[in-house]
Amino acid sequence: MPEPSRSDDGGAAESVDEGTAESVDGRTTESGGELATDGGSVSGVDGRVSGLTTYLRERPRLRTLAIAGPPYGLLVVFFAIPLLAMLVVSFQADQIGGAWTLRNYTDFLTSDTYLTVVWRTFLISVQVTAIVAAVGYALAYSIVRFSRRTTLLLLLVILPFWTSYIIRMYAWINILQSDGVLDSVLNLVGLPALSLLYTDTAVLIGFTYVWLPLAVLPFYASLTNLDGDLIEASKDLGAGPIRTFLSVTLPMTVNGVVTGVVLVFIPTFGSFITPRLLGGTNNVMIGMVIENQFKSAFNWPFGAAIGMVISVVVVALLLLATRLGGGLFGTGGEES
Amino acid sequence: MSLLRVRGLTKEFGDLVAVDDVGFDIEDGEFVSILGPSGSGKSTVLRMVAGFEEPTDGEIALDDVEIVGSPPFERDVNMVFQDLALFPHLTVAENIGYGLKQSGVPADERRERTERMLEMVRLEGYGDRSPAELSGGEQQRVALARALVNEPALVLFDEPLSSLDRKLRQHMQSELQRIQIETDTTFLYVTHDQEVALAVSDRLVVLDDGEIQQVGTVEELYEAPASRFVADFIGDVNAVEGRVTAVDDAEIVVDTGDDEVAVPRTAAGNAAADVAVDDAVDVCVRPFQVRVESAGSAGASDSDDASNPADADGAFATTGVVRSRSYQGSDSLYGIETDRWGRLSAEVRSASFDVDDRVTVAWDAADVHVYRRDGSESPDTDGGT
Amino acid sequence: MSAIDRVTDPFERFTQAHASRMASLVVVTVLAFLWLPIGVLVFMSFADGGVLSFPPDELTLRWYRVFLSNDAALDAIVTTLTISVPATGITVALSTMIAYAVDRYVFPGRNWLQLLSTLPIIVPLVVTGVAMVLFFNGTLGLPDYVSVVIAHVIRTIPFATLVILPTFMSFDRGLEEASKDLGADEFETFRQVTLPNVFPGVVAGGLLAFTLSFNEFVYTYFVKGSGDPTLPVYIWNQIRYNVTPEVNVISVVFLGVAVSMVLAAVSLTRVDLIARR
Repeated sequence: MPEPSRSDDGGAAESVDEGTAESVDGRTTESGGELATDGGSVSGVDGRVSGLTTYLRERPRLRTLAIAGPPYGLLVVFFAIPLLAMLVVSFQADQIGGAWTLRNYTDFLTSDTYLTVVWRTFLISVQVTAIVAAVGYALAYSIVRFSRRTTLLLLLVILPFWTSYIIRMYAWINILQSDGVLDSVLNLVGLPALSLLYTDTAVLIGFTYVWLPLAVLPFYASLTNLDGDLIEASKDLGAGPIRTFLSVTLPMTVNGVVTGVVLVFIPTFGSFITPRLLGGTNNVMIGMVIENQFKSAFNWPFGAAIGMVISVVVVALLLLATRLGGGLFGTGGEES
Repeated sequence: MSLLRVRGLTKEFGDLVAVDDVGFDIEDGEFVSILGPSGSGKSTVLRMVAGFEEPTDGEIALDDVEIVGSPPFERDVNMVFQDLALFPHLTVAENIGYGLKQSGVPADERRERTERMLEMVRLEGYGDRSPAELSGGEQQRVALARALVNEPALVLFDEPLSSLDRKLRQHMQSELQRIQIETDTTFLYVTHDQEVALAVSDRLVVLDDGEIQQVGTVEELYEAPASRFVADFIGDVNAVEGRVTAVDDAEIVVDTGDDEVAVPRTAAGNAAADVAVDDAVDVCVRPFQVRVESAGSAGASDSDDASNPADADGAFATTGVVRSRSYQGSDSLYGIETDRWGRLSAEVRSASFDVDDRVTVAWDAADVHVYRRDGSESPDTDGGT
Repeated sequence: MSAIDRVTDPFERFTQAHASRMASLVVVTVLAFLWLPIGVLVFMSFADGGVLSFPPDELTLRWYRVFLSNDAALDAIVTTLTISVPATGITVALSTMIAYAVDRYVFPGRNWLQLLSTLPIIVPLVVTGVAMVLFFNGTLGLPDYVSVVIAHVIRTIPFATLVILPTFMSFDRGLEEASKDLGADEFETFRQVTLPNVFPGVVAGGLLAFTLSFNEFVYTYFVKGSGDPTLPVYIWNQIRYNVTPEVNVISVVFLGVAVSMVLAAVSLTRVDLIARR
């Protein structure tokens, strides 16, 4: 039953009378004490809107539908249903509308090549997540606990996130390629060149670079909400900074950590841009396999099946994270 | 004809009865406070008058016109909100002129009336500032001006002064009174702070648990509280447990232990006390009405009387030891451990005692109020306290 | 954990004594890691020899001139704008509606609406991209342009909602009561009180949505057919098939757009509030 979430709407919702409405020139059009049933007694755009407000005031369900309906509908039709459609297509042979089959899944799950790719992807994602979590947390902690200009520093951290993903990868191509910026600098100081581009290291660097700003946000948020007195209390009671961190700070910010981990792991697991641009031919990740099905192999149902496999991994991880207490869906934060 | 007439007002939130059959009147030009502890339903009453809550039952009539059902923007009342609710995106002058703008008052008249209001609340020249630039007290004045400028029949206050420190609050109280008299407007003020309510109001409506406990002037409430709750809530009170042994139209005889004291039924109190023989009662007396004398002084022989108080022409008396003392300006407040009735407090002006002094404690039977204790119909109440 | 334990633990003592310096070191190192590549990118856009020569022999504006005379790149910018501008408008409207509904009303499916408006961030882009190309192009047969705009709206809604919702939630509803108390009806109250107060948040949400849409690659890459590429797709093709220093110049343009948009958004809200979400 649609009910206004706060009481004042409840009061207004039952009233019928529409007394006054301001018209365009700022003068008031009095409709006296009569019931202006549908705003007919006031003129102009505002009058009509006022009439509409009155009409909706009496019909809270319709009002809610009018406001929540359009975005709801769009998200269902163009986001939720496509995902379901993908599930359907993944059971079809060769093309959309093909014969029903489980072959896409059996082919994928019995192929050593693909399973190796999934395993590799998993390993890389774990490494990236661990690096980003450690570095990001250290950064957030340093900013929150030891810096004065926290807002400016946070801004400097998240600004790169708003630049193009591809361009950020391209920047690293400039740096990591043989005879690129890194090698040239190493040369200048008399060290051998590394030629890191097209290696696993390059992929790790690339991922760390793109996800670090994203992960810092939840870390920062949970650390900001942590009462600094607790840390002082712990030290006062005899725990050193390291033990205090492990026994107070970390446990109390575990929600932020879990959220950050999820925000990094999931997109890494599905990524194809970074391994395509920075990784070599030996560094295939599962996202690239999907991309291939759509961009060169043109076996859409097979690509859909792989997409489903990724989704299952992701959903499993999310459930695990929710169990661990990540506040990812705690949006709103209001009583309902 | 009253300006505001409230009858049978009831508000239920699900199973919770927040306001239960409340009725009172406010006359034109009065300053009335609704006083009650938090959760007593006082704000709900105010919000129903303003139109933000719909009563479950009951009537609210303003100037003899029923206003239940009409939206807040059509009611001739304006509110000073608890958190003031000044519009942060508008200037002080725009805040004050907001209501006039809604009712279509032309811009120049609006400006003039806003200016006059700023003068009234002593904020001349503040019109172009943003509310955020003002101090707490100044913001209070803007909120008041914003309500008053519309010349509503009734101005409602939802504890706006509670956020101020004591000194500023006292200053704002007297400002409120001045402005109320100058503008000749009717004020309905809601608060849990008895000090504020006693200071500003002509009359008080005491509310507890959604029900009216008493309606009356400050003097009536203080001198003749209708219930133990009101006595406790308005000022401090000592309570002594007793049992009624005899009752008639002229007096109530109370046994407070070994002795019996006849409490007269006077106009000021107990005239309507609803007690019967064998009821367990509280005998209440204000600390300032308690007399304290040194037990070792010339009146030492009185200490013998103390064990036999009934003969002291309608007085309650006992002996005790001073346990605590706190200065309150011209008075001192003593905590005295009495031999007979446990701990009592006494407010004494002239005499001076030290902790551990032995004293006699007494008060006149004419000064007490007798209240039946809840659930005392069954005679064997536990004798605790 | 006696007091003696505590003072003799060298690690604890070292950490206690040098915590602040260690923190500064972390901040400086990580910020360098985040900003040096961007600095390199900007610097290399002025290198005459292009990507493959560092340090460059000479600094030049040559690649900027090449970029300005490159119709394909400029077309890509126009293509991107014709998608991003309408997508941003739609996103702002829908996100505001979501924020309003979630903040104000209790209705069946309210939690689902919140979940749905967050989920596009969580589902891997490649999965949603695949789902969209299957459904939009495969099942519905939507025109290219419509598909891409819808895809951008889906991509940007979660972020815009993330920014707009808190401004509704932190908006003091008491102000609306005050407005009604002073004689304004619901519509006038929304126009004169609610809107002016949530407007900065809505604009900030719009700016971030635009930035995101302008940079959007994965959905576009999947959903968009072979027609005119958007700028990110154009760059992708450049990087993968023929690297020219001109890409550095385009990158700098990108950076300029993104940084100014985000700074504008930040000045309208408070960045730590966004983070606190």
